[in-house]
Amino acid sequence: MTQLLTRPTSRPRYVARGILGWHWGMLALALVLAVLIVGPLGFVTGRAVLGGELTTKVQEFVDFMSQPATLRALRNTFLIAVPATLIACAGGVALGWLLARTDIPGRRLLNSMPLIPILIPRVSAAIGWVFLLSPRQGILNVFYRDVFGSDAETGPFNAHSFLVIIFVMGINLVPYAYALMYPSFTQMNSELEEAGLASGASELRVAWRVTLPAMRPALLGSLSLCFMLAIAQFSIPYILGSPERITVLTTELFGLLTTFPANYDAVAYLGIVLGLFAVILLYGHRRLTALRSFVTVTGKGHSDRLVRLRRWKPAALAFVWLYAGLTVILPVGALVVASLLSFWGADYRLDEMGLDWYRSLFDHAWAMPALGNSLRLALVGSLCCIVLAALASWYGVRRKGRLNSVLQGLAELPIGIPSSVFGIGFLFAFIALWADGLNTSFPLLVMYSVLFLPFAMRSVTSALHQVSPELEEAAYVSGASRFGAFRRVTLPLLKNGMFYGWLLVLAILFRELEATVFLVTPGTPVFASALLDMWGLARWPQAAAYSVLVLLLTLVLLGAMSGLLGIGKRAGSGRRRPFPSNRPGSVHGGV
Amino acid sequence: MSASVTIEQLVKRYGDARDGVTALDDVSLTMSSGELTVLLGPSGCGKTTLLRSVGGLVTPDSGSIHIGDQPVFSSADRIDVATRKRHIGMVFQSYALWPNLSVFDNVAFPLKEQRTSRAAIRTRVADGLELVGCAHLSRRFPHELSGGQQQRVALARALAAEPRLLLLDEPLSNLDAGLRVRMRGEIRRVQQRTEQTMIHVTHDQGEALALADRLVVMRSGQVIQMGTPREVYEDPRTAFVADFLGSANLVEVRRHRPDGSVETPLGPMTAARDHHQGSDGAAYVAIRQEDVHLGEGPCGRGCANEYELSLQAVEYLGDHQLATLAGGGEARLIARCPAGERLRPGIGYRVCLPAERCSVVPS
Repeated sequence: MTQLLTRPTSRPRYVARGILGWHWGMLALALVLAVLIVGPLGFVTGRAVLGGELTTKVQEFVDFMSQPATLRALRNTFLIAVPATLIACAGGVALGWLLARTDIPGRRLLNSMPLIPILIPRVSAAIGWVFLLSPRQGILNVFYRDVFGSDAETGPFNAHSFLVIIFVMGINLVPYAYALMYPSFTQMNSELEEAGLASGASELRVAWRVTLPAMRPALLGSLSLCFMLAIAQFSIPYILGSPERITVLTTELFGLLTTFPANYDAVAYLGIVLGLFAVILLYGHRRLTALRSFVTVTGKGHSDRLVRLRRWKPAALAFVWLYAGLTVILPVGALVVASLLSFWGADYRLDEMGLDWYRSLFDHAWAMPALGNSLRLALVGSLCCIVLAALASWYGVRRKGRLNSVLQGLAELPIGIPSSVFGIGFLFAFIALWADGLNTSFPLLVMYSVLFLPFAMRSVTSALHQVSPELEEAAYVSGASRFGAFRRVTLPLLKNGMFYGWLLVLAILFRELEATVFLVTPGTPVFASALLDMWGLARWPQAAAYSVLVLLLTLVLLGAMSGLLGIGKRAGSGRRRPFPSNRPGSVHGGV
Repeated sequence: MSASVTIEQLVKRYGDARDGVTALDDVSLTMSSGELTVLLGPSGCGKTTLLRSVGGLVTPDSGSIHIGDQPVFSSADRIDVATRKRHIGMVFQSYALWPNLSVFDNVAFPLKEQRTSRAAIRTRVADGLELVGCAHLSRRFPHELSGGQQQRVALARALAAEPRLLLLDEPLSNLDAGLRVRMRGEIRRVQQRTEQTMIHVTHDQGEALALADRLVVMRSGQVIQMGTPREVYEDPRTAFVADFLGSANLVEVRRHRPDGSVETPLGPMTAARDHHQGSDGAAYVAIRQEDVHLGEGPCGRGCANEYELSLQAVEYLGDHQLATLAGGGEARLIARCPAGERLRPGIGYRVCLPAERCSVVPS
């Protein structure tokens, strides 16, 4: 038994044990995240502030900001982002409530439907809306004029107007609001509502006075998230707005970088302005609700009582399907139709349609390589991301302390900063440190590993909350090392959560453009930038065919992956549910 | 294989010096090999912290812990043996069965960590499951088991590697009342068969009395009293122990009289034991509810403590009834009477408190 005597360690109270020894591991991870997340932001600030007398820099900044073009872009950004955010959140709240808390038919099948638009590349969605609402040739316009016998050449809708930009952006941000609202609605303790009903209030009044206030943290979270995504949005205002010269901050940034010579100082100034909005927003958000106060909606973790819609059922169902129609069916349908035309402007007649544009894609100089490039980058990037997320979440759930709050703050940062600012940041960082690297895909890869870290962390964290610390402790007691316990107990239980997180990040990265557009090089285009170029060269039906092809590919890949997961499930454990952990597990969670 | 446990001057604080909590306040204890020790106390008394310190899941601030002859923790010698090298078993409150592993794999886990051969694992898992009566469940998964079965499997897993010491952290608290009684019998049976040193944490006094070889009562991070269940129950040393273990009557002591008896609101009282001697502060006479005797006339046993009290309320509880009696002032006594006795509230009774059942205890 003497070999059991361990040698005296130098600091008995905080023994760092094994690979996952708390302090060193945490510190290393925090450093990596600081370099990858704060570093690029530092380079933007550096570019804007350094490199000249401070007074002249301030003068330059003021001069640039007071140019009419800048002011117009600034004004337009707000004019578009504010109403778009409101549309997105209203939609997210309505869908979340309907699908989580009411007896709407088919809610189990429908409840992931509002997330589908995330899978549609935004460039494609925007192009789809051009095909629908282009003044002269747009499908809906032609249809409207036919039905109502109008003699006008154009209209009545105009794809290149503020209203359409706001609307398209709004409905495409609904999934993000929904993703925050839905779990909050399902976790709400229905006894709170029952108490309201018992006090004599109507269902509607209870929804307004009891349910919605309880959702406040999630609602504020959705508002700030959607606003952040709206001001960072690039493809929708670029494609819909450019013909009418409606510029926003991001399109202005793109313009500054793509005109020769690129005005890097101006880019940095705009980046700072965007970043400042983010800081103000984050600060306001923290003031209104501590970010972690999502737990205020406690309770049994499931709500049994559903609001009965009664005669409103058809209306509610119509609303859900209207959303599906506007975000998926109409734009995708328009893409399919346009991809079959021989040229944009041809009559919509079946006998003149064909698959020529699809064939042309395979001979295209960069269409297919860009697709492969996107796939590779998204795959590797999302893998790096999910590994970082798993480690950061694990520390976040298991450890307390100041170092850990710093770590969690760092990991959450990318959700609060417009992705365009990250793009610029990485651009400046590589210009300063390794300019040749910009000719490769390496900068994109580095950025991809942190850009959507918070998204990955959310799914890992919620999975991790289901794994009680006692399960790990039981492994230690049984003789397993920290790493052994992580590998044999925690990791198998996290598998599903990590897999979904990885899939989500993979899907988002695959079609990312907002940050990518600043780092992508002509030699190694990705899918979204290739699509944008195609659009720029006015090969519209080809761009449509390209989009449809990618959507098909996404569908096949997702199907294959969930099929894989399904098989994994069955082989994993038990027959019925893989991790029903949580009958006794919900007891674990509370301990 | 079973080992004794020696704990010396163990201290553990949570939080900082000013507004922190002292979970363990200079705890010293010895548990003999092959004995079942129960740590009993209200929630927050430090019993779980003590258990987890022994297991190495909590690192104390100072003091030392020996399992057998091996120091597993010592602040003075800077020793802190990792949990996995302490050779212990543990049953958790939530059982902590790994949901991704079958019952067999759960029980085999500690054996695999010991690099036991495959054949030996098979027989030892089978033996372990046999011991707790779950041999037929080995291919099931945890979610397919009832609470009691999960409990048994957790026990088999904890015992599988023949640990020197078994720690049980409120293992029965998630079971319903009937099953709890059955499972504590089971634990007792397994303990006697394996002669395993066990430390069992609970806040349930019935469970503690039924299971313990030795009972350790804790409060605010300190050990208040220890001994066999009988010793602790029959001779509580403080008002807290008297109240927490079996809710005894506590009659306030106004002053000590020169003849050794005490002055109480009920009148003068003689107590066989005085644990208050030499200490300051308030004192009480502790007497168990079942030791309060009611009669309509004098009891005739020559009782030293006999009082005329009026019966205020009767609580009928099926197998017995609780009578609340009031004397002059605010003094109250509760008597546990046989269910068959006809008690009439509002009537005066002669109440007899046998002196040999009375103790004077400090608060």
